[in-house]
Amino acid sequence: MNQKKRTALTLIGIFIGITAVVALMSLGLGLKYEMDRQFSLMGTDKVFVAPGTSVGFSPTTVKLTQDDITAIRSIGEVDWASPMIYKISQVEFGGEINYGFVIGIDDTDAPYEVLMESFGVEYEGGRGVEGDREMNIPFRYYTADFFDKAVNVGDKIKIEGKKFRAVGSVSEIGNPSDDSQVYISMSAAQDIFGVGEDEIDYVYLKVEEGVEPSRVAEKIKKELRKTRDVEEGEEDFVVQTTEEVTETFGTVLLIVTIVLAGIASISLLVGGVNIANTMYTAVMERTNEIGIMKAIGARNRDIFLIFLIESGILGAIGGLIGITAGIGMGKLVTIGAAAGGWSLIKSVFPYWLIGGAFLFSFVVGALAGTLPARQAAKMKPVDALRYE
Amino acid sequence: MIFDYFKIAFNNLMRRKLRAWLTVIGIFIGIMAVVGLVSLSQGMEDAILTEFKKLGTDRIIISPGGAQFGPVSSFITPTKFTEEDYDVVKKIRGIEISVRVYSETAYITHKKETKQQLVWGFPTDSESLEFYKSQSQFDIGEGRMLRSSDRYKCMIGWEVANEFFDDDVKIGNTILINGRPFEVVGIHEKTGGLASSDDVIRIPLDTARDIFGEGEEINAIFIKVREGFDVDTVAENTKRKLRKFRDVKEGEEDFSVQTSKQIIAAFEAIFGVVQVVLVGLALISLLVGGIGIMNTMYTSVVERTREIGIMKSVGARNSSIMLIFLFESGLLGTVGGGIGVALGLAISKGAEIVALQYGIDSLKAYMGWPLILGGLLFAFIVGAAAGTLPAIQASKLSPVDALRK
Repeated sequence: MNQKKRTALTLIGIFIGITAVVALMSLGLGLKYEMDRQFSLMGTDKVFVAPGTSVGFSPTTVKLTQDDITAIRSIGEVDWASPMIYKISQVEFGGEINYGFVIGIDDTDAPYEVLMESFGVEYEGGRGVEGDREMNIPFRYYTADFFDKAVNVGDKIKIEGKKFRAVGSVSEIGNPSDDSQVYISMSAAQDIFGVGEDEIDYVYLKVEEGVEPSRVAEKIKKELRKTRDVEEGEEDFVVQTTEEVTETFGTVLLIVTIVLAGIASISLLVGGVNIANTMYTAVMERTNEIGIMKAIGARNRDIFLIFLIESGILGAIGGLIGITAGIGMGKLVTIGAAAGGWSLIKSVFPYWLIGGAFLFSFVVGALAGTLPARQAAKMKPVDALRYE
Repeated sequence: MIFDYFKIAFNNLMRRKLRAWLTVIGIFIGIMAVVGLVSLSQGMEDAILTEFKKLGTDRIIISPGGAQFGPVSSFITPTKFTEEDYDVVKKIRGIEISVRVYSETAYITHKKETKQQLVWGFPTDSESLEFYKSQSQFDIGEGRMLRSSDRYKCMIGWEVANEFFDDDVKIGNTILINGRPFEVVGIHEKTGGLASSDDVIRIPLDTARDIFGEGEEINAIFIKVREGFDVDTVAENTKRKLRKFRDVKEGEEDFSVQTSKQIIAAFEAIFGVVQVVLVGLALISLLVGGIGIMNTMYTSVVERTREIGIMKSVGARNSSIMLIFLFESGLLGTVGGGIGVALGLAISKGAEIVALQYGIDSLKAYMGWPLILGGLLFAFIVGAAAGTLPAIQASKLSPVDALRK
């Protein structure tokens, strides 16, 4: 009875640690898979150009100019380029006022629907923007999350006091902010925001078939350095290919996941210490038994292996329970996040994560039991038999 | 009396040295992780908060648009403020001084090189100038502050003078802002940190309006609240008056009023979440360590069943037996805690030193007494709590059965 309690407690140690590690890793991996999926929707032949010093959103005070755009379009290997501007603006629907991002997209070079891919969305209904008083609405508009009433294709919304008609709706991106942004034409944006043509916030462009995107990115950097009169290394703009963006994001995510999982695995270390403790006690209690085994011919190596495998199994069983619980936790977090509007947080359980966790817990158990097992193996049969 | 318990507990633990040490290791690893993480995260938070507080805790920033990005909000919203908004604000009770600014990105030319940079138009009336003297961001390194009589003169930050262009900009040099010549009369001290003025270019507000052609527009109002007035109340009043003036409903404001307290609170909230996550994960290891103590104590109770029987038969009460075991597990926890706290602080201090070598000066280790004592107390509690059930089991043993073992 006490033996069972002890074993159970020892198992709990490993199981808690494995649960945490498996859950964390599944969420980290899930996030990466989801981002990769969204970026692959765009294709690897795209390049992003933005003013400022980081690709992520930051209200930079530096802008791209028409000269920059012309320079980009003049590069042969650039298939098409679409300048964009974005501002936080007042939107009104059904008497309700709210504030959100409004993005103006220039579709002279390529169809509006194609340009929308840069946001990782597909069209759920309707079509792309054609006229200057047309707009596309995001996920949270038609799910009645942004305004009290649901907005549908065909409805009219006021942006900065001007009426716009929703002609299309797009799919969910996965985070509340992006799922509240609306899309209009570049000329409409310049009109209602009162900005000139030298205040571009962003350029999304496609390279010609068969051309290496990173080469084109380098060419763009060279051209922009000329039009903006900056030296290499001191650019006030950023040019990145889809590959580079996913890489940067992937690296950051990897570091965060490793740090968190690392802290969680400290508990595995402690769990291992617990297993060692339990094994030492077990060895002590079975001294008599070890003596008998040796007396009837068991070699030192046999004793060693018996205890080693025992502790390994302890680890493995704890790991098994932990893996199950970890999967459960991961799925729970995903459901909770989606309910809060963060559906891009997903959890995946690749076979190598499960197998690896199982193997790892066995190894931790076995390692923890090494020293106690050696002590058991080294016992002298004579003394062992005498032990009471 | 208590000392006796300690002695008994200590001796009992020493009988099974290896087991005791392994159990202690389990606790100290967990405490080390928790203390180390709390030390580093608290240290960093304190360092950054100190930077924030240098800006003054009695400040309010008003910017147009529903975004909350402070003074640069105006760049991502089409909503505008004008002198009329400023007139409404400056009369509000409790305001010591209010400064309105207009800023725009412009082309700056120095000796054949042209680059884009943000230019700030500041009021240069005598009241404002008095105020700037008390603001560290306006400290002049070389030259002088703008005067009310200045028109086409400017002050620049340290980075603009020394790193922005190929040639350094010196006092007396003329730079072009959107093609108009401005004489550099002052260069700010190097400030660094969050509210750095190192990359600013400051010109008189009226001149800014001239060259950017924006009439009465302003894109941020900075307020210093008079001593004795509650910052939040003044902020609420400001919101109310502006709402009335701009004819917008509560909750649908097309402007944002932020107090320095709110900014600090927002920052602390984010940091708090990060701390909770990291420390929470580290606490898992402490939990497992506690389970280790529980295990050790159960084993101990079983092994000493006979001994407990003897103690009871010579008159020990149940509560005494329980106390003995509680002390033992508490001692295990505390020793683990002591080692853990010491090692945890050593590691975080080490991290601080290593980070400094790499030029990162925001990674600091917090080593206050609350952390040390808290860590020890927590370790003791974990130990005692873990040992409770085994101790109760020990105290309930019936002497007759116990002696028979």
